Amino acid sequence: MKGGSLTRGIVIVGVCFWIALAAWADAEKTNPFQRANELYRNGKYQESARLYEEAAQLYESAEVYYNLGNAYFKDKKLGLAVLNYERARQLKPRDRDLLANLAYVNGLIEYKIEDKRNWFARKISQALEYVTFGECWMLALGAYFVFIVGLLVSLLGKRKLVFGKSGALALSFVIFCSLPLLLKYGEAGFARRGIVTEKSAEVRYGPSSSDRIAFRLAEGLPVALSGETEDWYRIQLKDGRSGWVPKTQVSAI
Amino acid sequence: MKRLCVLGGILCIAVFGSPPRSLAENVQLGAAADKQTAEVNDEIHLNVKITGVRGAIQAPQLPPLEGFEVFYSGRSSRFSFVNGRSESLTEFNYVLIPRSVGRFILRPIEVKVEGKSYYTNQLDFTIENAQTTAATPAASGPPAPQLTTPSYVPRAAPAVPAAPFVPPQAASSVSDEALDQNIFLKVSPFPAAVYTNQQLILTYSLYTRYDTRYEGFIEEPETSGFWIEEFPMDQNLGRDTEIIDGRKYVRADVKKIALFPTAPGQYQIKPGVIKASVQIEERASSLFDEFFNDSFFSGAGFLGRRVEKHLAPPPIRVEVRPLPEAGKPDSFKGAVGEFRMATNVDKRVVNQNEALTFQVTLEGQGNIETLVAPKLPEIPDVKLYESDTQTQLFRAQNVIAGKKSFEIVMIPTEPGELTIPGVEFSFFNPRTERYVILKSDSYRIKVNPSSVPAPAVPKGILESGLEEGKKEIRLESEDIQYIKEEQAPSGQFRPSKIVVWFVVVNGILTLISAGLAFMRKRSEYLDRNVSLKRTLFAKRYAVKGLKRLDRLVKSSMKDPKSDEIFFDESAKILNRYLSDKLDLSPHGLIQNVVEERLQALQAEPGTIEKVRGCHEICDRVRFGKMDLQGADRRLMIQNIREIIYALERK
Repeated sequence: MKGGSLTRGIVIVGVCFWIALAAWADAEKTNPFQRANELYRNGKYQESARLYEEAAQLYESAEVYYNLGNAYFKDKKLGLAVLNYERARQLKPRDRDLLANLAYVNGLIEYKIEDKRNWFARKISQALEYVTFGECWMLALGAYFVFIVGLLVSLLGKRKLVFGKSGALALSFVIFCSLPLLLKYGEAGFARRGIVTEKSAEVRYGPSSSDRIAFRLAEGLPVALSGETEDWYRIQLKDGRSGWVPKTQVSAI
Repeated sequence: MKRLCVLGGILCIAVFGSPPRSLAENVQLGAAADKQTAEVNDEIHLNVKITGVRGAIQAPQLPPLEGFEVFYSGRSSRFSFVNGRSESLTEFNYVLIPRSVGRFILRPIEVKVEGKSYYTNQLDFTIENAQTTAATPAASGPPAPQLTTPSYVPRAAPAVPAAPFVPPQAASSVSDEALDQNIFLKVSPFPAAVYTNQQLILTYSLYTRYDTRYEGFIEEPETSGFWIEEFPMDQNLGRDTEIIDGRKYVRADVKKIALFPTAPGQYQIKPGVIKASVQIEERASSLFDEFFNDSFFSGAGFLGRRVEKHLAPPPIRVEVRPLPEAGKPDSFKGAVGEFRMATNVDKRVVNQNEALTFQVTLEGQGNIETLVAPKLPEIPDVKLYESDTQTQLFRAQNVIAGKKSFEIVMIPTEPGELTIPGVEFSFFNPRTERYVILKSDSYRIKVNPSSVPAPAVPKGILESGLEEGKKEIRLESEDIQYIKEEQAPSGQFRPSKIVVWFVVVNGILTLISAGLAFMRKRSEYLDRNVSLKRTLFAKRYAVKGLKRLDRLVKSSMKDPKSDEIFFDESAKILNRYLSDKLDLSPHGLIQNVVEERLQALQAEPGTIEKVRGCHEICDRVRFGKMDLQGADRRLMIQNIREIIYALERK
């Protein structure tokens, strides 16, 4: 009798395991990311891009944006490719494949914008591109954790409550470790970044199609979004020039 | 040394070989100029001739001659025996350069012989403006040959304002070298037009009519675009005489360089600046002067005064033609000149994995340093190592020649017969203006089988290809990297997730720290204010005491001594509270004082009454041994509690 119930139990567990495995396999097949990869392998870049977009809505990841960038590039949509590579870079800023693709695609852009900021601002900006917001937060919070634990130990140790040199040093350490975060927010706070996604974007002197065209931008060029109305972005280039461009021609990263 | 010997010989003759008699024998003096009418900046050659004096003689000092520059240009002596009679002749030569127009008189020149003064005749000079004579060319004689005179030497110098003659100081610099036709530097390129990498000789020749000393370059030539090889010059410069424009010059080649242009085009070479010093006038004469002062480009004239001259020829233009494309062989690597090639192999029979050396030697005229080893064709089953390169240069006459040898170490890896194919070297011969291809013989080497492993490659030897060492991996095309096949697992470390928890933990820790810090500060403050602390904590202690009283009521109702214990405790609790609250000493608390302080605190009379009542009951029980039953105990607790609450509201 005992042997019969044991067998029955094993059978039940096995069936459950098989059902779970089948469900997992089915989920893999129906996962838009995997289906998009399959389409990409078969050279159906437009369809794969659509599925990657779907996957990005479900779960934001660097891999999805990277593959989406690849799909758009193969579909000859340079601006959208750069946009998605940049989005992927915000999540995985040091991925070699991503950086290689971004450099390659940027090299194909016909025009370049000279960065007229001073060397210090340029270097800081380049350095901040190699870290994510989360990493900056981790650094700042880690430093604060060390500081606050030290303070607690000091208080529990019934030492005299004096903010001396060691306190100043510890606070300086926290501020120093918080600098990347502050700079990152500073850069992102002043102006969000965007990418020109149309073949040619007309930049005007005002947020209206009746305003005169100031200059044109090529697809894939980066811009800073310093303001917006309902249908227009106010953009600023690294060389200092600025203007208004329709939201349909530029996408925020 | 030779001069000292001659000097010694003359001294011997002078002391022992001749009878002791006077050196002066019928002394005769004469001064003559090659012309007495001249133009400004022209030159007049003055000759002072002294006869009848044997041995040393002081050089005559010219009297001041305003409007002229005076240069001493040497002396000559002659001594002869003819038919038993001796004759001596000494000549002193000067160059006079008039600097102003007018009529000038050279007063008689004084010559001292054995302390006695002798005088020459007086000379008259008429100096005219150069433009005056330019109008009458017939008077100036035949025209000067145009080709032999350097273009920068002025034929008719412009008129210079007359200035009084001031004897120049030793080693002073002269800035008007261009005006002086008696000394100049000529730089000759040969040939004037060359092919790329063809040898071009640049010769620096110093022409002078003065007693001159060459002192080297103060500014080196600028020859950018050329590979340079310098010819070594002798310590004693060779000299030669040359007639230019009807004038006799002494010429000395002071520098010679070979230039090899690296690219075709029009080039301008700045020849640099040399320094020379000329003797302008001799002050003293001695037996040493007799031999040293007349020498050229030596240490002459160290007793005289010298003028420094900086000679800077104008830039030279050189045309460098490109090498012809027609007939250029594939093996041509830029060699220009005339070369021979020889090859050699050190072994004809080797064992497998044993090294042999193949040597290629290129020899000839041209730019040896830039020769490149001929390319060796691919040889199967052989490892090639570039081993050594040796260069030997010969600089002779006007030719840079030499030889360069290249050694290639070969290690056959398979047994059998190894064939080293002939190598090809080509060069351009500028003389025939054709490319020449040289081919070496091939060699057959017998390779015996061997089990010895291949030797370690010596350090510094690069594996073939011979010229480049290891090849780099070249990118043939560019494209984006492939897609990511997998997404990062959701459980993977993500800073954004951790950040939330980190914020919470840090927040809690911050609150705890703040609370602890506040408590620490409060404690420190109360420690400093004891009365405040007693007041604040009075109720806390009283409430604790009331709880003790409650326990006493429940535990010992039937004990006869319990009343005493209870009321004793009640009195203690009440007194402790009142002393803490009213900031009084708990010892010897007097009822009157308590009531006064309560009145001062504006306590209600009922409360004061209750305090008094409690004290009386406690005293009666403790000291009068009254039994008040359990109900009174609860009343006591109630009264104390009401007193506390009443006073706490104040």
